[in-house]
Parts: sequence; structure tokens; C-alpha cells
Amino acid sequence: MPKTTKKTETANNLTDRQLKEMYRRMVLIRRFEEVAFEKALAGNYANYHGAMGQEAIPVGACFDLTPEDGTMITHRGLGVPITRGVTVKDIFAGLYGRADSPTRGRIPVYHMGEPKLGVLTGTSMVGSVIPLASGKALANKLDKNNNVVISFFGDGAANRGDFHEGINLAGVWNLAIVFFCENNFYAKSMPLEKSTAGGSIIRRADGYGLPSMLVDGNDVLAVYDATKQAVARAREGGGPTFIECETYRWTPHSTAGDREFARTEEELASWKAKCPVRRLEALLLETGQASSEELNAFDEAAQREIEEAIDWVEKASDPGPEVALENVYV
Amino acid sequence: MPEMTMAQALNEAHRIAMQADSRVFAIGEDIGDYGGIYRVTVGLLDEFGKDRVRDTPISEAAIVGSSVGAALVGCRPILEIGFVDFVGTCWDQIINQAAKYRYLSGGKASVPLVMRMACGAGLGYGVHHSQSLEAWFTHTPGIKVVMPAFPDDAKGLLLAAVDDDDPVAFFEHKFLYTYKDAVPEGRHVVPIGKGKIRREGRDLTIVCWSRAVHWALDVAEKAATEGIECEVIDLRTLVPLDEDLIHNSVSRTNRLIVCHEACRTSGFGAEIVSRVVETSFDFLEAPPIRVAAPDIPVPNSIPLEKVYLRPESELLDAVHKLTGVRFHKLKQH
Amino acid sequence: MASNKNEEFESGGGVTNGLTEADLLDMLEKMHLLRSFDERVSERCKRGEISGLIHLGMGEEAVAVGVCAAIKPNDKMTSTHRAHGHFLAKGGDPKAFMAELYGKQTGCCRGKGGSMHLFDLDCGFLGANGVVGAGLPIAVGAALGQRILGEDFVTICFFGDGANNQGTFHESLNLATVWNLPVVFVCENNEYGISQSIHAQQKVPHVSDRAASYLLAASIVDGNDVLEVYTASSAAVAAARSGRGPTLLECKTYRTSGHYEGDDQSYRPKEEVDEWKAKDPIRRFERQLLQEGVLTDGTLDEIKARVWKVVEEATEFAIASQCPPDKEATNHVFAASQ
Repeated sequence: MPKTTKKTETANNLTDRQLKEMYRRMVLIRRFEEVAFEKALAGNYANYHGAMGQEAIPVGACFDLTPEDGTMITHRGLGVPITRGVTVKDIFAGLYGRADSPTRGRIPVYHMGEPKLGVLTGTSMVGSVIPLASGKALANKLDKNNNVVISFFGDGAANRGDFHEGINLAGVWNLAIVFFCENNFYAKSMPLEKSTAGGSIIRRADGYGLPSMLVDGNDVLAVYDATKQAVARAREGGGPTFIECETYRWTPHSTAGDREFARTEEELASWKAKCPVRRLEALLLETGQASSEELNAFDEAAQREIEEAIDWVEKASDPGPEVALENVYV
Repeated sequence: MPEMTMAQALNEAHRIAMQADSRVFAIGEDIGDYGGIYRVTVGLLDEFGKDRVRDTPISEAAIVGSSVGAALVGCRPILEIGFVDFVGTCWDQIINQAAKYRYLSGGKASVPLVMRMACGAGLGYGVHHSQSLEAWFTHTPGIKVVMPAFPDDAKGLLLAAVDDDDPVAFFEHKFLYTYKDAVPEGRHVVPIGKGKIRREGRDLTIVCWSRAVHWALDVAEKAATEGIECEVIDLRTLVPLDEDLIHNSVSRTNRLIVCHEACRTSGFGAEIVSRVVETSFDFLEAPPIRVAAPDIPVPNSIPLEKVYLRPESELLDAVHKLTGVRFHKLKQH
Repeated sequence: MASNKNEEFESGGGVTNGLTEADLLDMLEKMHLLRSFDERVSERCKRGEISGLIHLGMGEEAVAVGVCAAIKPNDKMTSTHRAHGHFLAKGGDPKAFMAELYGKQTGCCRGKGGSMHLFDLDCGFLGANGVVGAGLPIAVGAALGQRILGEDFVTICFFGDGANNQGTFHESLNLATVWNLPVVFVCENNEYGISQSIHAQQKVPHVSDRAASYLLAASIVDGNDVLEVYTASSAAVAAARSGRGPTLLECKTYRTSGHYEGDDQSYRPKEEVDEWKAKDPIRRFERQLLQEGVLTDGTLDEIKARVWKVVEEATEFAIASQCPPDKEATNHVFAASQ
């Protein structure tokens, strides 16, 4: 592949700078995931549902969003808030339940959201986010703005009734929403082929009359392209799109005593070989759009940011008991 | 007598029930290969095969609904919902279908279903994985509600629940899965609807269930060193309620505390206090006290979760308060 | 495990379809029975003798009768709030049916279920249901029970077009297909969920458009052609019985009665209703049978007379029966009766 100069735009119309920014975010999420998992195992907080290996999705999907666009996330991974600007310090504060977390220790960030950055409040109930996301898109429609919502969920959610109801409604009302399935092929211990009739999630989009795209979820540029198209369609009044991204989590379902048995070492190794971070790194180096020094610098900066956050959070104080009783009602 | 954890005791109950009756089957998420998120169904798939130990997709409405349907045609399903917090996703099938079939059919239909659900806080799991929602079920005529506090009762009540021809909501406190205690071997059945006096005492009655029983026993030990003798009743079953046991105790001790982990307002403690006031008012020397969680969602941060779990630390205060009160009787017996 | 291909079953066909003349006349008589009961119930609602929410199914008789002609007495069935036709076609006792609507002790549910909660275990009728979509997982469960118990029956699951947007539709079709269960899902698509057109409730034109996503076998059937319904049902039931798993049959039909007794039907033009009345499935079948020489005017009169007698006797029985005593209200909450 011919080397391009640093100022040339790529086929995705992304500049060198943008691609490097993608890399920076991905490596930050990767390093965050490593530490978040480790700190949970060490007993600093109860449970962590890691998304190591799935970094291309939050970065590619959220890259072009404005703060008015909403993203609804699940229990797994914090790549979306990180991509959208929530600091790792705030995230760890939430995980550790500190007084200075955005919810003053009441809940971790994947529930809380950050409205200013478009990160919508999520829920642990698998699949229940979907009608919530449709509701946000409905509010946008009533408000007559052209903001878009992305509803992230996993393969496990695709068999819930809420998946069916939330997506159907968005289709009927032509809402500006992207339904984004992160298919990592396992709902905890349940493999897709045992739980999902037809063996395909994307085929379900046909049952709602929605256009759909199947994407390599470990290729950040493919994720970016697909989401860009879907978001553009939604913004222009073309209604919802269903995107399925195939990916894989490197860690067990969670840190709470989960054992791996359904997945094999070979399978994991084959997916690690498709590491999304390494793939973008290879592209940038091959095309000369970044040097290995620059990329290493991003990695080091990520590690520093996380170390500083951990230093702070491990000394930070816990909330007083009165915080538990606040915000039940207005 | 062998010692085992509550999870192991429940596992044994499954095994005994499924060996005895081919109509019994287990259904739920991650219960087969994985052995269940709390290890309650370990080994069952190997022993009974995948027809009778069924892993499901994430589809709670279909899990409960299909269990109702199977029960209607003669099966005796044991379903697992990993966190009682998820019942919202299948609530119709529980309260409108399982609970009502016998009645709406004029007695012809039977739904002999056991719904195992894990409840309770204390592990830092936060708002959607920590609630105690037994009061929702006690408010639904047609469902029996069972909450064992000890492994032997867990085994015995699960066997009784499988034998029961009514739908049973069977709550397991997730903090107690690893609690180890002696469990009788073989087919040990504990009757549904019968509470148990865990500790006898003359000065006051503490009615409790599930994890609160352990709190109450600890507090009773401490109170005894101060010369206060607490009688601790482990209800074991909430519906049908063992009213006689409560009445007999209160008529002797004249003082009542009800302690539960669930939120205070409209918690099942309110029902017990009401019934005692209705039937045993003349025996009471002081107003009953409820010790329960504040009316809040369960916060994530451990120190905040302790606020939710206040009942544990407030129980001893309640004992002191109750025994320090002199109540003027308005009429003599 | 049987493969779940999206097959189109052949439906339609000539008069015989493996049915004898006696079978055909029996089907016609059943359709008349369903219609006559609907008319009688409607009239008695207006008189104030039957109260509560009553959902009639005039115009949809071919679906219930065609499906039930394809199954055995011990096959199971779940139904909807619009259950009268399913109950009677399945073999439910007309007297117990009418008495139930009248709220009498002799009703099939001792007066406690009523129109939307009819139930009769003896004929495999596992319940009408007041909650839209609630019968689907229950039907899946009955089929699951068949597998576990090693018995020999299939389960028919009736639901309407409105239910197909309920979460339970999705969870049930997915589970039945993943587990290859012997259930036939029959959608009575009358194109209305109360006042809402199906086209306002979903983007895809047909309910069966969703089957492909589960790789579930499905077909669209003229729900007003009782023989087409019968043929499609027979094929689906045979598939279930032989271990080839579930099927979805979408029967296109139309209810000429209102959603419920008392419905002003302001949501649809009278011309539309009249247009469908002209395609009445009973008249259509009669014409077909008359043409084939299976039916004569004389036979038709006999059928109507027998049906009228059944309806009359059921009504008299219901009226003469006692109301349940007060203690019935607290009975059957739990297994131990009071």
C-alpha cells in the first residue's frame, strides 16, 4: 500500500489526526479495562463486566456524535462513556463508590449516565435499555430536533421481549435511532447457537422492516463507516437502522466468580489475533500516518491517566450515610 | 449429620425431587452447563440430561410462562430467576397467570410451579441486583411465599414446594448461599406454612425471616448478656402465615419486633404487625416495632449500602427500646 | 434436531382434502354453532343478562373450526380474550360455556372465569386469557410439558395480530424454535388491535414476515376458507407431531362484530365491515358444499335446527342454573379448598 502523507484524508474521510485520536481512545479504553478488571478481582468493588477486546465499537460508533446525540449502554464495559468524554477518574470514583463520584457513590457510571455528554442512564436488565432508548428517540421527535440515539445491547438481549417491543415501536414511528448489537456470541455461559433461533440476530431486523448492516466489530473503521451511514439516515428522517457488530470479550462474563468453560482457549486466541487495537495500530504504521513513538506515547499517556485516577480514588473518601437517603424522590 | 452450604442443600433437594418424579424439571438461565450462577444446579445436567435441565435464552417472560404451561399439563417445574429484581420482566406471567389459573378455572387448573429467586443486598451489587421484593408476592393471592434462613430448611422447603400443588415463590438470600450448617440426609421435608422458634425467650418476640434471622440470633446473644431474653421466630413461610405461632409467642412475651431486610413501607412486617394488633392487642405491653431498611433503592457504594442494611445494626437498639418501655394498660384482663 | 426451514406449506385444494362428507358437514355445523352462539350472546348482552367484557368473533369461524378439525381431542390449546369460538370448536361443553357467561355455578369455571378466562382441562383447553400475548409462553410450556412427560399431543396457540408486537410473541417463538417444540402458532390476523390497524402497529405487512428471523416455518392462509385453514393446520400439526417442530400459520380474517359488545366501531368504515360480511366464511362454505352436492337445502335446515336446539338448551340451562354461593368467592385460591 503506498505511503500517504500525513495530510491526506483516508477513504473514510478521516484525517491522520482523527485516526490517531481513535487510537488514543481505544488504547485508553483497553488500559482502563485491564485495570478495572484487576481492581474488581482485588476486592475494591463488587463486580465488573469487562469488555476487553471490544474497544473498536464504542470508539468507531461514537466518534462523530455530538453531545446532543444520546447513547444508551448496558452493564458491559465503559468504552462509550470514556469515548464520549467521561473521565476515567469519574468512572473509577463511581466503581469505588466514592463521595466525589458523579452520583456521590450511589451507583456506578453505567447506570448513571452523563447527560451533558449524551451518555444516557442505563440499566442492568438485559434488553430493558432498548425501549428506554426508543423513548429517548421519541422525545427527540416530539422536540423536533434532529438528534440521534444509539441503543447498544448484546446478543443476549436479542431474545428478550423488550428487544421486540422497543425496536418495533421505533420502526413504526420512524424514530431517529440506531440499534447496535455487540454480538460477542455468548450471553454469560449461553452460546448464541443454543439460545437464538435461526442463529442470526441481524435477520431479526427484517421482521421490523429495518435496514441492517453486519459489521466486523473489531475493525474500528468499519464500525465508524456503518454507524456514520446509520446516523445520517436517522438524522435525515430515514428512521432506524439495525447494526450487528461481531466481536468477542477476552475476559469472563464478570469478575464475580465466573468460570470459563463454554469458551475454549483456541477460540479466545483466534479472537485475540484480531485485536482491534493492534489492527488500527498496524494500519497507522503501514500507511505512515503515525509513528510507533506517537502510538507508544498514547499508550503511556493512557497508563498515566489511569494511574493518577487510581492514586486519587484509592485515597478518596467514602460518602457519608446521609447520601444513601437522598434523591429517592424530587 | 453432614454439613453443607445452602447452595449444596438446594442442589440436593433438586436431585432428590428429580430422581423421585420424572415430571420435575429445572429451567433457567445458566443453570445447565454452568451449574447456575449460585452453583445450586451443579451436576444436574449430567445426571438428568438436557430435557430436564434446561438452559434458556434471556427471556424471563417465556421462562415463567412456559413453566406455567408445562405445569398446567402435569409437569412440576423448578424455575430459577437469578435476581428477584428481574421479575418486572415476567410479572404478568407470575401474578396474572400462575397465581390465578386455579381460581379462574373454578379449581380445575393447577400450577404446581416453584419459582426460585435470589434476593438481598450486602454484596455491593447495586440497584438492580440487591432488592428484597417478597412483599409484592405476598400481596398476590394464589402464590405461596417461602424464605428459608438455614440450609436444612432450604432443602426441606424446596422439597415441600415441589410437592405443593400451588405456585411457590421461593426466595434465597444470596448472602446465605455459602452459609454452612448441618442438613439431614435423604428426603427431609419441612412443611410450608410452619414457622420455627429458633431461640426461646420470655422478654420479647422477634419475628423475622431469611437473613434477618441471623441478625436476630446475633442480637439475642448480645441481649442475653444484658439479661434480656429474646424469643426469635424464624417464619420460614410468609404465605400462608403461621399466625398461631406468632400469637402464642406474643401472648407470653407481650412485646413484638418484626425485622426484615426489605424496605419498611408496605414490607411484610407491616402485615405481621397489623395482624398481631388485630388479634393479640390485649397482650401487648408496648407498641410493636418494625426494623427494616429505609425506603431507598440499594446504593452501590459499600458504606452507603450499609445504610440500606441498617436493620442489622438497629435491631439491638430496638430490643433496648422495647424492653425499656412501660405501657399503661387501659384495662385489666 | 429437525431443521427449521422457512417452508411454504401447500394450502387450499379441493373439497375433499381427505375429509369425508360427514366431516365436511360437521365442520359446517360447527361454524353455524359458533355463529349462533355469538348472535345469542350478543342479544343477551343487550338484554343485560350477560355482563362483563365480551369479545365476539363473528366472521372468524373458519379459523377455529378449520384448526380444530385438524387436531385430536387430547391436543392442547391456549386462546385469547376472544375465545368463545376456540372453546366450542375444541369441544367445550356448550351448556357449561353459556352458564359461565351467565356467571353461574354450573359454568365451566364455576362462574369465576367468565368470557375471557374460559378453561376446560378435559378437552385440553388451557385457557382463554385476559392479557394479550400471555397465552404464547403458556402454549410453549404445554409443548415443553409434552416433551418432558413423554405424552402424545401437540399444542395449538391462538393469538391475534395485536399480540404479535408483544414481547411474549418474540420470546415464545424463539424458545419454541430453539427447542423444536410441538406447537402450532395460529395468528388470527383480523387487521385490528381494537381500533388500531395493524399497519399502524408494525412496519412489516404480515405477521408471518417475522418467522424468517427465527427460521420458523410459516405460511399465510385465507382465514375465511375453512378448508384452506384445515389443510394448512393439518400439515403444521403433522410436522409438530412428527418432531419437526413449530409452525406459524397466519390466517387472514376479519371480525364483523365489534371488538367487544358495546363497541361503537367508529374506527372503521361501515362499508369495510359490509364488504367483509359479503365474504362471510359460512356462506362461502355453504355455497361450495352446495355446488359439490355435499350439502342440500334440506340438510342445511337440519343443521340449523340442531344448532338452534343446542343454543336454546344451553341458554335455558344457564338461566335456570344457580348463581355460585358466596363461599365460592374464596374457594380455589390455593389447592386446599375452603
